[in-house]
Amino acid sequence: MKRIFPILAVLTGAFLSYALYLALVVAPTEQTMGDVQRIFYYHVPSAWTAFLLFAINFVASVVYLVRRNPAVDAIAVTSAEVGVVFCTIVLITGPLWARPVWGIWWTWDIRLTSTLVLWLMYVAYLILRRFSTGGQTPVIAAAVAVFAALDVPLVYFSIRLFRTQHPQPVIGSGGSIDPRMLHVLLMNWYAFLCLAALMFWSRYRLEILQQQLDEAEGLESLEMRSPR
Amino acid sequence: MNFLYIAYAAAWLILIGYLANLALRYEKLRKEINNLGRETSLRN
Amino acid sequence: MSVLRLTTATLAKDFRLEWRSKDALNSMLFFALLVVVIFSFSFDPNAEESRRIAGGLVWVAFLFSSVVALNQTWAREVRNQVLDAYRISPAPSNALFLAKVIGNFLFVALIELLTTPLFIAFYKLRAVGPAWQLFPVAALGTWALVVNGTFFAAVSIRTRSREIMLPLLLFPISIPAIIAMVSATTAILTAEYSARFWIVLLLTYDVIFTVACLLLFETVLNAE
Repeated sequence: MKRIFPILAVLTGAFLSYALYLALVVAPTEQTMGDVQRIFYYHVPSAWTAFLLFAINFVASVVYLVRRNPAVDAIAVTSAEVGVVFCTIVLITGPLWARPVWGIWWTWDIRLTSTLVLWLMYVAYLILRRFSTGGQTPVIAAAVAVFAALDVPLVYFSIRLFRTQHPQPVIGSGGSIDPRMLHVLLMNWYAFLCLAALMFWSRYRLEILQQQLDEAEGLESLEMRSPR
Repeated sequence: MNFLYIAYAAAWLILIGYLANLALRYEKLRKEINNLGRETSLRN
Repeated sequence: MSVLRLTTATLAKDFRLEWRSKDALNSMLFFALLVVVIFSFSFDPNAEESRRIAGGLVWVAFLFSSVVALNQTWAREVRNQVLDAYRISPAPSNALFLAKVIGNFLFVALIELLTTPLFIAFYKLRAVGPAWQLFPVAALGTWALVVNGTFFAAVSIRTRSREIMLPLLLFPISIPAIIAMVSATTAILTAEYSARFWIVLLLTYDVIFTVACLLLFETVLNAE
């Protein structure tokens, strides 16, 4: 396993470079927005990756509450952390796109705001994990993750009433996206997924090692205290 | 056009920053594991 | 004993303790008063403007005051090891949770009742829409804050910096409820649109999170 990791890292790097080339050179220039529209090839794949990771976090949290398996908890914390990283990219590239296109940095639009709220909730989740001490951390973190997931549809509906300014979804609802653009978008998404998987893997291994270390240290202090 | 480059640079900065953060945490963990190993070997 | 009797017994105990000391009530009332006064210094609107912003101001004031109350919910129980006793006892933990939620609800509602006249006086408020709708909005909104707040207070007593952890958890999760309360209040005050959608949303929020809290409270209480 250890020898595969560098190979995969190099492959992912190559794939990401190819996707970057596609996004900057190959993809056709959008007619109304111009080159700025190319932010789309980073913005949207990051968003999808982040949402996927948050979904994994929800499933892992529910499974943890039922099964109490430490490996599942490691999956939960890993997906939340990597998800926050990609969500941060969404929130930074979004305004950089909005400014030249709409003339404003931020608008209280439904998807922007929902993503911001999602980011806030998972940052709070990570802070909770950092501040919490001892063996109860996974349980209370899983409970909070379930609450965050329950909140998502409510956030969506509560913001929906405000007028939405975001470009309508281009995929799914009979979108009129250029097939070449769609190809570049999907390639970038696959590249981002590979990168996210690599990050996930190394963060997960770190968490497992940390768990083992904590266990060994606990044993150690027990042995020291017991009379020899 | 500038906004495009800023956005791409920001995205990469965040990703590389996170990878660097992971590497630092691995380093710290390895030190702790070494420490633990030394303590046990000292006592034995 | 039934859940109902346990709930009332815990509630009565909390009220008796509070009645004897009146610590929390006095400090909360004064805190809410300070918030109202400082807000009225920060904004000096005319009657038309104040109708538009009052919904937000009132609920932000109540949100901050309720965080002060919620932080104290479990402090006394932790100090006197009541939670450990509860974990050992066969009593259903949801009775404890319900008692705490109802206690906090009545408490925050009392604060709201006492500070609302001040808001009305300072901001020269007058509802253009149907004013009676403010009561269900206030009740549902307060419940939304208090049910999650009590739950997250129980979560944050397990962490290092408990006082700061509660708002960090409660505020993001409460965003839809806060949007709904503020919009409903503004709708009633200005009569520009109907508050019905927001009241339904608040009700949905309350039902979903009350059920979630009741399902998960025992897990959190017994988290090793």
